[in-house]
Amino acid sequence: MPFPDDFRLDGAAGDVVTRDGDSLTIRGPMSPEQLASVLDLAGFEPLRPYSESRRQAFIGELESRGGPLSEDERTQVMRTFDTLWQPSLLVQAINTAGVARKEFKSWRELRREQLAGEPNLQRERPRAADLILNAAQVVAVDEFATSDPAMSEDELIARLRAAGEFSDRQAASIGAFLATQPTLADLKHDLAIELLKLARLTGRTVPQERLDWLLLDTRQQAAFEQKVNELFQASHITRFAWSGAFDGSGSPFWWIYEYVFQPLTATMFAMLAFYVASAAFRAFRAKNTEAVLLLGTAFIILLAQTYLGPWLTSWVPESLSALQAEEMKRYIMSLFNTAGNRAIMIGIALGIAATSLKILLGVDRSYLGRGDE
Amino acid sequence: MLTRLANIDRRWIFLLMGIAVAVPILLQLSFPEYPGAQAQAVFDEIEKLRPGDRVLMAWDFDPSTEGELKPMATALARQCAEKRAKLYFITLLPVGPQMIDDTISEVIREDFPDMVYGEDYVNLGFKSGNEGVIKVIITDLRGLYTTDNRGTNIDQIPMCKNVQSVQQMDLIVNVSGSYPGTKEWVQYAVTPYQSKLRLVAGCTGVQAPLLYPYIPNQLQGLLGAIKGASEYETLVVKAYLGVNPDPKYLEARRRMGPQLVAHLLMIALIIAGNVIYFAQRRGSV
Repeated sequence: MPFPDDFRLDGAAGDVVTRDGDSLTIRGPMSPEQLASVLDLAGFEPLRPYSESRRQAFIGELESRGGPLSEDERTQVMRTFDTLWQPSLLVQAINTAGVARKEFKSWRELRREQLAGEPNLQRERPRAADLILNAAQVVAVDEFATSDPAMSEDELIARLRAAGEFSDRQAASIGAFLATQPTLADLKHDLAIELLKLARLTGRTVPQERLDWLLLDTRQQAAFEQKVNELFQASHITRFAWSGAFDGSGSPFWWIYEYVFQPLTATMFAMLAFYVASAAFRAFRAKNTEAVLLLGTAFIILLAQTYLGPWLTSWVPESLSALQAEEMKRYIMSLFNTAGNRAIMIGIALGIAATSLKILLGVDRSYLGRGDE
Repeated sequence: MLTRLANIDRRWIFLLMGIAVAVPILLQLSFPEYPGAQAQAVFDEIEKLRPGDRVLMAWDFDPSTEGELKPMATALARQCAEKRAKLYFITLLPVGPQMIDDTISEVIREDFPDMVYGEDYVNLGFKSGNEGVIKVIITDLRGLYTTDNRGTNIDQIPMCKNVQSVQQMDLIVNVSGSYPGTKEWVQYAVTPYQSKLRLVAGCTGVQAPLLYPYIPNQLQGLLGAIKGASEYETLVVKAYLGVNPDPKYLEARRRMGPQLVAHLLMIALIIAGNVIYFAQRRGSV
């Protein structure tokens, strides 16, 4: 199969896929993630803007296949190159990622400020300064985009970090931006289509040799994707039924687990919420003192388990902090609940010991039956 | 009217609960969290680890409790990996290996690609026998775990070569969804060897009250339900992940929105049920 020049294997597929010359081999079934991983790493890199000299070199290549271009065709080629992204767009994408986000203070921070005597409480934190690329960083982006095609994305990020403040979000924005850009195969394919359209208007024909050259990369890319997809399908066909890793991605067990077992068990557990709500409405009644105590406890725990509890009791002064929702929850769980549970556990242990002794000493012989059956 | 309300079709309540859970998810409601004492205790206990310390990661949960427990499992794995501890994953539940695989692929492979399988982390997989497994491996790990989950002989795994029993672990981190879980680890592992073993755990909301009696001597810290997870997540994010963490480390906080509205609905339903009950009783007297 045709491999792109800079094809490399790592990522999710690196463990199981191996390349031997012109063939790819996979051990066991291939998961959708591994398929995406192989296709992502296929070496079809997004294009960067073409400088004037590179454009002329490209036109030279075109003219060497089927003769000189007409003026209209030359204009069309230039227009196609003009559709590629410009460095200013990448700078804009990075700057957008550098805009500081809104952040809010927690209720405790606000309360602390209030206790400290702050008269004008602000919910929103002071915004951090936006990270905008400085002149040196813009130059680095320009070089990456136009004058230094050998510079990798990682090298650009390293240069940007060295040249000034640069966040991880901004670094991620570069990859996200480039991922949306066309590859050389896409550009040549678009150009072939445009030249064919032009030929229909002008009555000229596009030489077959030129068309073949323009579509070669697209064909290679499509052929590569097709072969990898075939590999994906082939990896799921086992030579012997039920052979291979039983829980490997794509195997029958994996499929049953992923699409039957997991959704069913998660749904069963989630349905508890619906039945508990219905039961609470119908059966949780304050019929006597014990039930009232249980209700009160339930309300405190339900509220304290969310943001609302602490927020509702945030006005309670520090001297009465025992009445704050979180503190009340802590008391209930670590004092009453722990004492109750320990009493039950000790009771069970004593009961087991007493019953065991009774059986061992022959005091309790009921397990033998009463003899009248 | 009251009779109609008292006998309301329960499907209306189901619908209300569905809306209460769905709306915060769709609106992506999120609230600030402040770490409680237990979350802090778990965080501090893991912070004590030094590079190269052995940590037993007992992932005793399955897809039924994944929604509640996976966020804390992710955050726990992240902090242990940050401490450069050697991680030994095991599970006592048949579908636990999938939970371990998820943690390994989402946390270790994605965020710590330099960690090497067999040297920095190992997946020992599932063994049947519930607390019986704990009882054996606490004195003889190699007797039961002769291979890892992939079938590699344990003698060929560098990080397992000098490990004879669980007593050599510097910390046990347990995420427990049901039986067997934290209670069994406390009873059969930590209690007989209290001077040697330390245990921190995360569990479902239903289990948490049953585990409080073991704090702090047999259980050094406990993350109870999604609330505990979100508090702990806040600590891990603050310490290691900065202002723009990967969304997988904010999952517990994201789930606190639906929990808030669902709890409010529960309270409203209980109050409504009681109002109707007392009004009917007064009417019948």
